[in-house]
Amino acid sequence: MTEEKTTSGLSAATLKWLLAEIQSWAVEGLIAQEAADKLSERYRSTQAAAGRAKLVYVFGILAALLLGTGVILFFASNWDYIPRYGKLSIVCVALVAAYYGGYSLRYRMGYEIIGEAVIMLGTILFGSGIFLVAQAFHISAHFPNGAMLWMLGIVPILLLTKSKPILAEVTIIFGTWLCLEVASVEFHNYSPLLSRAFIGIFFLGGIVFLIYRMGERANAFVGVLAFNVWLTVFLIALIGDIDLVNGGHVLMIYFTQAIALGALGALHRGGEKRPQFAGVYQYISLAIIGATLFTLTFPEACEELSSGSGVFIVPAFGFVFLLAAVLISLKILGGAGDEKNVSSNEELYIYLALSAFSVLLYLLFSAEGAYVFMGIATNLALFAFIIGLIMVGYRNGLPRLVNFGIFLFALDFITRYFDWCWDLMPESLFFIAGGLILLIGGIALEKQRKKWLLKAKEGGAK
Amino acid sequence: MKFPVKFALAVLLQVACLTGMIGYKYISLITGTVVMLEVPRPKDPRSLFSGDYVIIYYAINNIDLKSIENDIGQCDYDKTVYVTLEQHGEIWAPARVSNNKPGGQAIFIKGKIDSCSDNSASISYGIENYFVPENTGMAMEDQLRSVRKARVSIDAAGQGTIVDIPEK
Repeated sequence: MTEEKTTSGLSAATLKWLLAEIQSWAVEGLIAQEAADKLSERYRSTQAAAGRAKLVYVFGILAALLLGTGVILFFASNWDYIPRYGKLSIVCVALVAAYYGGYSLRYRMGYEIIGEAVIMLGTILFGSGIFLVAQAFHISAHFPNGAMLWMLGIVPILLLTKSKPILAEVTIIFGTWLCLEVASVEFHNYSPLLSRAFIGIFFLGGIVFLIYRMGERANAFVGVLAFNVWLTVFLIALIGDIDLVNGGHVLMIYFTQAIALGALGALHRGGEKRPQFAGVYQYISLAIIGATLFTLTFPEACEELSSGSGVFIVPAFGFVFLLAAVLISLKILGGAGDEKNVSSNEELYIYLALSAFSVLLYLLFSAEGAYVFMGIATNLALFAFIIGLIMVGYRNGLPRLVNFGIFLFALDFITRYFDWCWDLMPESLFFIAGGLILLIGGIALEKQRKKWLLKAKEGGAK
Repeated sequence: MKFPVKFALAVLLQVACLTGMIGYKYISLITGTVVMLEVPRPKDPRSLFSGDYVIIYYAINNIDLKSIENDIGQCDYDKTVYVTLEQHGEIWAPARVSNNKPGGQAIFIKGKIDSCSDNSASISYGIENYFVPENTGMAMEDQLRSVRKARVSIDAAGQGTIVDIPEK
């Protein structure tokens, strides 16, 4: 499991353990109490400094975002007492001033964090300038091009500064550009969107390269979201009116993608490169898998999603993700014996089982009137998934899997209670019984959860 | 190359991009021929980044292909066409639609086909948005409904830029 890291390189949990260890060394007489106190103070102050740096970072980025948004809104209000060329001059001067100020603060005066935030403000001002020119000259030609120009224009600054917040900004603008492209589709003509989606692959490739190069988890999170935006746009471009297509098949694309993402997370956890991305991928993967399985426990949802026509390209997409998930899983499992990979192995069996289940779901979505069976099958699959998560989390020291499994169990239990018991008893009795079950169940669950978490935190039950 | 120089060049690139856009539209405005176009119906929405604006539907946005000479052939979406304009009193109206840029002294505007039917083509020219100060969209819409025309500058390449909306 990838833990929360401080900027000093130690996780909060590791630091706590280290401080306790140092004191125990002093008690055991291994080192003098004075040395123990000095060592403890050294690590405590490092943590405090790291915490302050993080706070300044957050404040700086928030300040840049607030100022940038303020500037965009100021010019969007288009007050006519500032002439056209006056407004354009203000933006150009402010842009240069922000970059100059940011550069001086970061590279000359040593205020790295605030300097980076001010440079980021410059990148926002550039975007504001593009839309101001469009406003000043009443340009209506293909609005999304403005966002694309914004993204491309700040890439040189990103490459030079290697700023993680600016990388996140570029990624968000990339997603916004694609959304604007979809919004600008007229008369159901999706052919221009396809060329944009193909161009988007190259931009996305560059973004992914930089995310891996810089290694920041927040960037990886935004990157996964941007990939999903691109995937959706590519699907719309290929299929056209996506609402006419079998919804289940479309849902399966995201489901299989989540399985592949989870397997990729496991690969990172076991490997030496970017282990910090493992948690990000796993969280997103579990959220999508859990949400999909939970949705499909309702036969009504299965029926609704089964409507619409089947289009060959949609299952083909899912197949690509499935293939990726299976190949990654088998690659890691094939490397058994490598001690680093052991904690990931059992989790991979869950992904392989889910891959097989997704094939069944594809078939059921294609069959007519299979939604009741699909609902029952998914209920069983969700239950198996929950058991699998708790077991793997418990055995391999992964508390987040245990917690997520328990959350899903509680959610499914409450839903099924409402689903099955609402019509069977009077309302008052329904709520009293529900309250009692929750109370007793909660105590039992909490007791069991504590045991599991304790075992998980101790490093697994193996 | 030293880092400060690279950084300055990256900033300069952005400034050049903005001033280039401004310069291009400025030259188009000052060198273009100003024509008055008929506006049958306006509408006022809002853009997140650029503020309030009025969508202007010009008479030339919808061209009757039966009554106007044309050689556009297959009517593909996003296809570039050139609409030659002729002055009828104060208003300039379409006289010909062509795939090729007209020669000589003809005043023409460049557009892209949005949709086609058997007899007509819907064409946009990139001059359909008129940005206005915040909360004045409705007033501008009323003004446009009353005057039903807009002044547009068209440069030698057929690029249009809105000059203003006349008060009368």
